[in-house]
Amino acid sequence: MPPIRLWTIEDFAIDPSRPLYEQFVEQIRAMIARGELEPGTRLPSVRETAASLRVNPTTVMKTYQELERLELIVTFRGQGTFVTQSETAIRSSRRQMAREAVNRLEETARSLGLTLEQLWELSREKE
Amino acid sequence: MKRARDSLFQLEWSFHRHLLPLDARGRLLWVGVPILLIVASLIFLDGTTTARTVFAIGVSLSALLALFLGTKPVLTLWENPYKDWWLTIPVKREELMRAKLNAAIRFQAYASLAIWATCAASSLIRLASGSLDSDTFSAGSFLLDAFAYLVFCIPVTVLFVCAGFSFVGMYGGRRVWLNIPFVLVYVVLFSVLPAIGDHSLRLDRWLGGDLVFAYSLAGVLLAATVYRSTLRFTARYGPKDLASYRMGGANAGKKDALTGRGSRTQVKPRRAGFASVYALEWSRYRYFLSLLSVRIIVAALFAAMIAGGFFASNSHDTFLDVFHAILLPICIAPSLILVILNQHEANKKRMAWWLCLPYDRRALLLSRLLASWGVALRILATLVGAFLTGVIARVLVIGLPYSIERTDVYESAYTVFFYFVAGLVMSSVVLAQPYSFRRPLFSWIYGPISSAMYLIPALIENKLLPEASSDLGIGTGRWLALLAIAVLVVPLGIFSLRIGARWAHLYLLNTQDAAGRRRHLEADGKIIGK
Amino acid sequence: MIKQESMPFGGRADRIAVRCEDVQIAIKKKPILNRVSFDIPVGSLTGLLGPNGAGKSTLMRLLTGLLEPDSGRIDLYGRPAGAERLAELSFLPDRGQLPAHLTAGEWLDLASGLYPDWSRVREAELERELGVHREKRIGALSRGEEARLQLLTCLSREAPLIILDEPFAGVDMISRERIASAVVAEMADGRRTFLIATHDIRELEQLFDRIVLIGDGEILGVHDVEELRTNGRSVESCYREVFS
Repeated sequence: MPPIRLWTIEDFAIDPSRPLYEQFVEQIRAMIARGELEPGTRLPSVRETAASLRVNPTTVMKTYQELERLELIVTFRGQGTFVTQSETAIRSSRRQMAREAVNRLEETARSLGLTLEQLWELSREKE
Repeated sequence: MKRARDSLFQLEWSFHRHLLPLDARGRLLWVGVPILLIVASLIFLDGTTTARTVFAIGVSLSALLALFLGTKPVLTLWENPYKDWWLTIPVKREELMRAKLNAAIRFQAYASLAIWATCAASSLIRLASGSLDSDTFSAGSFLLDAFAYLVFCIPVTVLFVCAGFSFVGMYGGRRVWLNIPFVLVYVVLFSVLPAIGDHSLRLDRWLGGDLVFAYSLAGVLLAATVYRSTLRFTARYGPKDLASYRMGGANAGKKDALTGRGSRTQVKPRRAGFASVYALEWSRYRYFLSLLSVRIIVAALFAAMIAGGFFASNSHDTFLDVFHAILLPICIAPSLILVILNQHEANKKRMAWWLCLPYDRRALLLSRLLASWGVALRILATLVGAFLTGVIARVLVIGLPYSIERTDVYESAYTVFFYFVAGLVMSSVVLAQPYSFRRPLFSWIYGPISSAMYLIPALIENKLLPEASSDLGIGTGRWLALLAIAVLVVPLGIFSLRIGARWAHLYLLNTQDAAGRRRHLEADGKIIGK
Repeated sequence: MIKQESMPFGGRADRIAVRCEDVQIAIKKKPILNRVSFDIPVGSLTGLLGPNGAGKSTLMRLLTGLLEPDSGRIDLYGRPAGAERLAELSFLPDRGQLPAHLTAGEWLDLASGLYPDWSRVREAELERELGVHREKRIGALSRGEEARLQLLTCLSREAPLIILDEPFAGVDMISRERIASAVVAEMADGRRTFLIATHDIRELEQLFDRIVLIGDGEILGVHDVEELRTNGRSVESCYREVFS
């Protein structure tokens, strides 16, 4: 049985003005993508996670559901919930994160009236 | 349901645990008080008081105690933070009341038994020591009386505990007026106690064992009805009133809440210095006296005094007796108030704030002392005034069967001064209590003195003012004696005040919480008990 | 696939645990609540937020049936509230204290007899979770310890509705965290409904499903917290808007 990863609220940076589950999903996805959360790690139940994070179980429920939809976690009947072992899923997630990061950069570029490449050049300019 | 009932009763009974003779302190109470009472009976009672009378006094004492014991749990309930937990226990409201009432009755039953035993013991001891008239004594009638009074304890216990307990329903609405008869019951019992002693021969017929059995029978029937009605009454009104009461007097009337004016608790801000500290202390009593229920009780006492003045002036002696009877509790009251007040303040964590006021502690304590006397004197003046009004009314309407001599005036004045000085000194001595936190040995001196002091006035009065002197009047010798005593004990009072001031901060270390914590830690072996 | 039916919402919103309609009450001629109306769905954790003196405690007393409203109605699970329904709810009073002369163990033993829905199993679990020592005298407990004992008493019962009035008042941080965790653990099966009256918003913000804002005896807003957040507001900012 792989060890359970128990979360504490310090593992996350939460902004109370945005839906909490979205933030949990983002950050857990990042953990998986970074390899911090190893494939096959067993996740605590909704109840345990909610209690250790001190957030509403509904939030945790939605988080797990979304992660499952993204195929980042898998539930095996009677055994529990695990981080996916599927390389494809993880890679697909990393790709998604990369795309989102680039989109954000493009937005910043647009707000400065530049293209992405110009933004990059600007950042490397000497004073 | 049965389980809930049992648990509820256990819970209520646990509140009385601290007074049971389960630990040293409890045993001191249950052994010490009877001994004290027996000694008192040896001193104060003479041959005219029969064993029968002693039983009657005992029963009256039981009744008074029962009344008090019935009232006390509900009196403290209003401000008790435990109240909300108690109210939300999921049982019928009547069950809540029943458990509380039954616990009080059970405790009072033990107390009544103890009192009865003390009466029996006292009579036997007096018989042995010759103070009881052995000619009129017969073992047979003694046993009969003893048994009869034992049985009589039962309805008396139930009736008076119920009467006291019903207080919980007298808080709101028109039921507040019930406070009047409620107080009158107390007053009547208080007066009956000494009266039995004085008129024992006349009443002997009515106090006999056979009649007492009859009283018991009637009493039991009455008690059963009263018990049921009390339960229904208190269950119907008590919980709702308790629930709507906001602790700490936050239930200001509409006018107060909206405008802040019209509140009697406002202290005029213009005073400074000692006067302002005094005003602070006084405001406490002001608030208390402005409560509707308190005003009703005082009004009831006032009315009782007028009536008392009217009827008691029937006989010369009764007149003086009642007069003394008013003086005695009033002069003891400040001492009682001060003791309780200081500890209560510490428990409520106000003591720290009070001690940090930028005034000499002696001034603070003095202001507290003076304020308590202020309120005591005010009430005394009111009651004496009422009493005299009653007497004057009688003079105008019927006329007195005797004349009031100059000596009576002198004697009354003497009594007043005596009680005043004694009371003042006692209340000062009482202020020295915090020293006992420092030197526990001190509490061995202090404790008995403060308990005994409630008896001292009566003792001294009986010895220094024997009946004979009321005919002769108070000579200058007496006055000089009083003066001499005053000169001796007043410094004692001042000294006590200073000690109290010096060590007042020890109250902070000896709040109820701290004491509880220490007790627990001692039991755990974490602190070696001192 | 995570089972749908364990979700507290979605499909269950039609079951209302508490409904207040036009509740009005005055105490000693001073109006406390004025036309108060709101719903609490089954399985939710609702925060009753408002400053001191807003009428929260009085509302609690009405819900527990200790007081009756002058007008309007209060229904618990479809039937009127009243003292006879105390067995269906578990109430933690504001600034309440348990009998100081009992030890925690004595109180819990008595409580198991007093409350018909007491669960010894839960009691043992919660004792561990909340760190309650049975042999300590209640009068000697610190504020945090007593708060945990009181919560233990509330949660060891199986009543479907749990009402907490200021559970954090004067409680130290670690105790608060333990209390919050215990409350969350209780919620997880979706059958119990929580109503928490507080002005300690930050600590409990992440627990609320719903908030009811009350001030000066009136309901100033009822919000679904998820909706708030989707619109970029936090519970705290909403509170600030309403009350300052």
